[in-house]
Amino acid sequence: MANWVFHSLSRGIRTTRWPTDPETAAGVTPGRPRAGVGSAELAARCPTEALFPHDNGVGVDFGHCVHCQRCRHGDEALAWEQDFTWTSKPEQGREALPARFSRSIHVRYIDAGACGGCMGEIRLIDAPAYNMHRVGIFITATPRDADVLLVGGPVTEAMREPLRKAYEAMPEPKRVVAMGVCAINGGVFGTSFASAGGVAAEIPVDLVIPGCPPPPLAIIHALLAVTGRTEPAELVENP
Amino acid sequence: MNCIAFGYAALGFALLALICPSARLSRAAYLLGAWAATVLLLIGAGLALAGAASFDLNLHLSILPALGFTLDPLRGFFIGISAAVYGLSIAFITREAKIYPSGHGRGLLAWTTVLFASLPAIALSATVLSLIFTWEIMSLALWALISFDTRNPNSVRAGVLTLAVSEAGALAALAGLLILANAAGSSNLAAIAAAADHMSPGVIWAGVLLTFFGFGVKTGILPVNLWMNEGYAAAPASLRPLFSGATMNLGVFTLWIVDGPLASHALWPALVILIVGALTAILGIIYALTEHELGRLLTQSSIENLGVVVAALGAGFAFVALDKPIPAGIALVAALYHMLNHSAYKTLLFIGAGGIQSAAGTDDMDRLGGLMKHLPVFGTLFLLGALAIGALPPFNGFVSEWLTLQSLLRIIEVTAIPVRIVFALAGAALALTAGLALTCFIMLAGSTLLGLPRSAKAAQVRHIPASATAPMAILVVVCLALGVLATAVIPVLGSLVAPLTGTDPTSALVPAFFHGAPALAPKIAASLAPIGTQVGEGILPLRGLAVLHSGGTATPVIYAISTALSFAVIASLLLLVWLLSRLLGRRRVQRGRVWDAGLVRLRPEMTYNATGFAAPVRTVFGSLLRPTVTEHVERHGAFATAWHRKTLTVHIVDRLALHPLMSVMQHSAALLARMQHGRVNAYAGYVLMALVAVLIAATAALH
Repeated sequence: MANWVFHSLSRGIRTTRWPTDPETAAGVTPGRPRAGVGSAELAARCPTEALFPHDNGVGVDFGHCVHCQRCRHGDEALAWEQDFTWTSKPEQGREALPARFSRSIHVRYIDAGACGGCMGEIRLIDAPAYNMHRVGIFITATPRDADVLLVGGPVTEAMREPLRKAYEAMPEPKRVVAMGVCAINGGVFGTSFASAGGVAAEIPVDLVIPGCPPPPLAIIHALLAVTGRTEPAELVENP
Repeated sequence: MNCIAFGYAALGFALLALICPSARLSRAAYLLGAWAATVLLLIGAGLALAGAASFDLNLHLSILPALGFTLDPLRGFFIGISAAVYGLSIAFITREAKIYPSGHGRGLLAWTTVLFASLPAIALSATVLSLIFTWEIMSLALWALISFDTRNPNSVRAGVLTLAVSEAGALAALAGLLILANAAGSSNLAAIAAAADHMSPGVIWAGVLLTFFGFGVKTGILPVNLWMNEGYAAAPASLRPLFSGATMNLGVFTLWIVDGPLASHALWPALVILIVGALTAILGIIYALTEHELGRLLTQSSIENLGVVVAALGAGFAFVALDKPIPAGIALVAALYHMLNHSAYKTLLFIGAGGIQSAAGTDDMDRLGGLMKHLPVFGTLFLLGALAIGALPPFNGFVSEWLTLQSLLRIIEVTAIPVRIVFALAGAALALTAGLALTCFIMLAGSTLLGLPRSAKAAQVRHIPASATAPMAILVVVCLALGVLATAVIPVLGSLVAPLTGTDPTSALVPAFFHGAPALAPKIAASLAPIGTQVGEGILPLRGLAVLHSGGTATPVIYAISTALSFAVIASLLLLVWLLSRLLGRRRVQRGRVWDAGLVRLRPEMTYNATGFAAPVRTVFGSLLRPTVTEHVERHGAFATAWHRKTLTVHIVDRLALHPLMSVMQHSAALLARMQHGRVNAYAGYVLMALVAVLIAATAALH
């Protein structure tokens, strides 16, 4: 009857211990290219123009990278790193939340026209393997209770007003995290009559999470960076 | 005696003032007379309560023998409540009468005065004749006021139903009283009460059932409350405080005066009263939750509250019959206390509902909302009234509901299993009622005062007249005082209960912590000192501040509560929180727009309303309510353009009692109508047959 008890006991705890211990399990991240030596042809291989030629080789703008791995294979190749601590802070981003938020933050997620990929990853941070509550992250139903607004998607025309209303409904102090390539610059949707081309076009953005979609640990990293518990990385890397 | 006579004289002056041609002068003089009558009757009632005034008046008219009136403390209590409710609501009634054309408005006030005049007269009645006579005046005045708006067919229909049910009830009550008077050999109510212990069980059963259900028409007990929903809805909104706060109590009075002594000698009639009361309460509150109009909701809630009172009375009578005078006294005190409380908060809420109706043009909660924003004072008073009726401490509803439930639990002192089962089920029903009542009044306050206004007129309400808010403010203070100073109220009610139970339960319920030694073990008394039972000793004119029931040495304290202490704790905690937030908080208030889940346009119709709030209750009790749902979809090609859904809930009494009765009547009327087919020969035949029958009967009689 109680087979699951023995099953669970024999399997042991599978929840990640990151950020206390490093997490190296296969599949927790799609990885990302790092800037390095390369020619203009290598940069031209990138379908999203995330790679750009530089004096010393090829630089990477993580705000565009969708982990397609075309730059990873072939004659010329960039080094591919299996990390996920790539959240970065735009120039106009505000500083981290005060220290009293360091043990618990409440997050409201808004899907501003995302494809569903980001939503899938958000769901995973509540799964046993990642368990957001162990680091004090909670999802709320209303922006009235939220400290952090997590936004995915390029902000479609229909979601402009709701997004702004949600931001205005939040109490101070508040921070905005734009999640995924679309939320950073519109991504594959770009800027058009139907798409604002990123969250920053509508409300101030304090942190961005590159990735398409960002893996769960990258989201947790970003939400810890909101409270200053982890350090953000650079968005654009020159060789 | 003098005060009450002068009070009636003042009422007469008020009636005369209505003849005055100047509308303004007439209103002012009427109000003056009405308030003078109120004050005089209150003084008379107060003197009677204090035992300083009593009289026996027997009028021996040749055509009406034995028309007697009497005054004692209990009658003074009922007169006082009626007068207070009338005095507090009459200013609003007078103001609302202005909406009618001059003559009609004066007629309304005249009938109101007649209705009020009948109430103390009922409470003063000492004989069967005077009781029925004054009762009929009240019934007729109620009918006149319910069908006052004769242009409205609903009013007329409701008036006819009211009259039919009232008259059937009065006839039943008269029959019951005559049976009792015959058995007692006197038509004096006191003589009937005294003769109760040697009446046969059959007479007691007949008397109790006939008078209980006959007079119960006005108390709103099942199943004779079928007129109330439509009747109260048809009456002018300003009159409902008087209907609910004053007339319903007189049913309790007759129950006490006529049935009390009988049921105190017969256990099972008392249990019938308990069962009917508990069923009335639970059904009342369930139907209150299905209503979305303030007036109808409050009407059903009145039925519920009076159900609680009747149940507590039934429990008290049963305890007397079981020879347990102390639990009996506690239950009867709880009943009187709850009735007093109901008069206070229901008058408050009905005046508030009337004010809303006159200002917003509707009392449909699904069309109201957001009144708190523009009417903070009125809204706060209405909210406090809802808290009081929802039985939340420190308000008065809590004390009487708590006492009622505690007194029902004392049935463990009785060993008879069937009695225990009846009490347990009634107690469970009353506990469920209390919970549902809280839900109901959260819904009432929330959907009326908070949220967005759901109609244009509700959004434009800026003012509620002082004739509504001033009485409401007084009543909020009364509700709070009745809730906090329970230990001052219980001795008064205890002295009213003593003639029926033989013992004043006060000493068993309020230990004399302040004046004299409490009847408790010294150890127990000492252990209660730290919670402040003796704070204010010798200063406050009270026995003590704790309501405490002791079962003797085996169980020194069965239950205890200190309403004053809990009020002090609640008040000081609130004050402390406020002070702390003032001192520590930086008081940064951010004002933003309503969070509407990011909708482009939030329409009031999309917000949560009373119907939505009560939906879970309607679902849970769906098999009882049996709503008829009709759906109609308008289609345009492949698209549904509109979806109409209509739910009709027929009250269970209408469904099980009124509708079958009406169909039987109509069926028999149709059968009789077949005689009337217009042929002269047939009519001549009927006459011949009748003649033959009379001749045969006469011949038979001659032999």
